[in-house]
Parts: sequence; structure tokens; C-alpha cells
Amino acid sequence: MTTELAAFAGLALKMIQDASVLRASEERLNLALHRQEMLTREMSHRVKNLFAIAIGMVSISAKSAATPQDMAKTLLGRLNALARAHDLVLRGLQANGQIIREATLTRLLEAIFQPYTDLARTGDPKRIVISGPDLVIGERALTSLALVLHELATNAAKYGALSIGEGLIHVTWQIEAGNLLLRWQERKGPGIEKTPTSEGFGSILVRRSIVGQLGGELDYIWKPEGFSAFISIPMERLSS
Amino acid sequence: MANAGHGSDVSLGRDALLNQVSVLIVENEPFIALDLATAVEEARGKVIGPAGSVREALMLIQQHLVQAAVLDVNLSDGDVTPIAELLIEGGVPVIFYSGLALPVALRERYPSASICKKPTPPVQLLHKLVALMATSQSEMELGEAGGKSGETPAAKESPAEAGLVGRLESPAPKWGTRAC
Repeated sequence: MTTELAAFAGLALKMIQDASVLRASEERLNLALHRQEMLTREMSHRVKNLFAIAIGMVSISAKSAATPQDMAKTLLGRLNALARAHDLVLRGLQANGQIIREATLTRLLEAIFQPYTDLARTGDPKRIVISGPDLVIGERALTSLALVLHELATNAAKYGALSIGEGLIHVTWQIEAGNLLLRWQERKGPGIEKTPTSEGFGSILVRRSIVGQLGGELDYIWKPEGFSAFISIPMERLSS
Repeated sequence: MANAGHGSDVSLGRDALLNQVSVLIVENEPFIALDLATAVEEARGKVIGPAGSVREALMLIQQHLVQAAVLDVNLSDGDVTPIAELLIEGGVPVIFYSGLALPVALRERYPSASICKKPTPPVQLLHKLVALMATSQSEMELGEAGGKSGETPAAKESPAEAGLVGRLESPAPKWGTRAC
């Protein structure tokens, strides 16, 4: 009798345990599904946003280009910069859904200058110098910054230090009073006779991105020995 | 291409669409912002902005007469709610342009707000804005009933000063029931 009772109690206890294990795994499954759904929604939003940017890029690039070839070149450059920035984000996304932030300013600059490193091989290996403290950049800021740096690099390749074999570009930065201070300095390029009187589309884009989107400040300096850009961005905007 | 501006099928029907109406553009993605700004200019509208942040947009609203607005929802320093409220309460026709749904607070307050989902071609967005302005104008004239009409109120005027009492009393403004 007592053994029967004990056996029954044991069975009942086991059933309760099984049920709670089942419930726990059900909860875990629901949580995972919920996470999956959030991730899908977030991805969908990002893809839509990228399409909207790409569409804007096509129309803007069409308006400022003189020939179809010119337009294709400008557009491909911008789309590639966008793709490289996105690649940095993806590389940080691990299989378990964890995000390891590895989109640093150094990596971004290397990615942006990558199309120009072939040029560097033929000349001085130190044509492009990137130097500053390691700095993680958040996803939102990454796209804008990638496009800004791409526009500056394109400009250097068209008119500045990357347009001739001997030109040099130094990109250096430091963090001061909660701001990233980045200096883009071109030397030994073709030389500048006078400050341009009008701002091109590329330049307007850079200004809008730095001031409007990243809440920073921007100064261009044209000296006979080369072009410089001084960029200041609040750190909290960079990490968002 | 530079020569594709006139006479191409893309620009058909754009001319004089906005007829000097001043349109505030609030959008923090530079390519989208510049694309919208160019579309407004090609439709003979006056561009205010583009503003990329709430702060910048508020400043522009204080400085300029805003007669219509295209608003992105997520800006670099927060969501667009304060700007939207200021404009809508001031009777300014507003189109939201976003890849996401409106924030809950805005959706509940303005259930029939006009939304164009990203991406929408700027020309299509402007056509919707013009339609919205026409509806909003005729409603305003009804609401004013004998008051001075024909002038779109600036956002800085309070609703009472702008003669919008009739309009604000109706629980849900009728304009904009469809998404792009």
C-alpha cells in the first residue's frame, strides 16, 4: 500500500516535472520565434531603406553626370561604398545572432580606399596613411560616414592627390571632449590655384551627411599645396 | 543625364505642379533628401530645408512660412512627432515618408494621416501632396465660414489664430486616407 502510494506520488511528480520542462522549452521556442520575427522585420526595414537610398542615388547621380559613362562610374562608386559599409556590418553578425562590433573607423577607411590601393602599389607604398585610435562605429553612422569618405576619396581621385602618381593622403583622427576630430589632408597633388566658387553635388552630400545626419561640423580648406577637410562628429552619434 | 530634364517622359506633368508653394522637407538620408528637394524644385515649388534633424526642422519652421511638408519619421536626434504635431495643428498638409509604420502616439492622434512608404517615386509623392493640399484647402474654407480665406496659415500661428477651430473640432481630419 505504501509502496503503491509512493509509486503513484513519484509518477505524479514526474508528470509535473515533464510538464514544466515542456512548458520551459515551449517558452524558449516562443522567445526564439519572437526574436526571429523581430530580426526579419528589422532586416526588411533595412532593405527598404537601402532601396530608397539607392533610388535617390540613381536620380541624384543622373542629374549631375555629363555622360552615361560618367553616371555609371559615379553611381557604381557610391553603390560599392554602400555595399562595403554593409559588409562590415554583416561581418560583425555571428551565426548565433550575437553582434560583435567590428566596424571600426580604420576598417571602414581601409574598405573605402581599397579601390585605390592598386594605384598605391605603383607609387609610394605610404601614399595613403590612416592613423588614429581604434573606434567602433554604430550601424546608423556607418552608412553616412562610408558615403562621406567615399565622396572625399572620389574627389581626390578626380582632382586631388590620387589623380597623380606622387600625391599623398593622410587621414588622422583623435577624440577630444566627446567629439571625433578627423583631418583629411592631401599633399603633393596637382596643386590648387583657387578655392572653388560653387559646391558640387558630392560636396553638398558630404555637408548634409556630416551636419544634418551626424550632427557634426565640417570645414574645407583649399591651399596651393593641397585640399584638407576637417570633420568633427559627436561621439554619441557615431556609436548609434 | 544632364540633358534629360526637359521633355523626357519622367518630367511629364511635373511643371507648375506646386506653383511656388513652399514645401518643408525633413529627411535625414542625404540622397533621399536631395532627390526630394530636386523633385520639388522641378515641380516649381520652393524648398525649405532639407532638414535632417528635429532641431534643424524646428528652426526652419520658425524662420519660414511652411505651406506643405514631407516628413521622414526617424531623424538623427529623435522621431518626427514634435514637428508633425506643430505642423498638423497649424493646418499644414503633411505627408509622412517612411519605411516603417508611424510611431504609436502619432498614429493614435492622427489616424488618417497620409503615409508614403519608402521607397516611393518623388513625383508620385508630390502628386499626393498636391491632392492633400487641395482637400485641406477646401476643408479650411468650410471651417472658416466667412473668415479670410485663400491663405495657408503658417505653422507658427496657433490653431485659434489661424481660424482652424471648425477643422480641429472634427475628431479625425478627412484628408489623406490612403497610403502611397
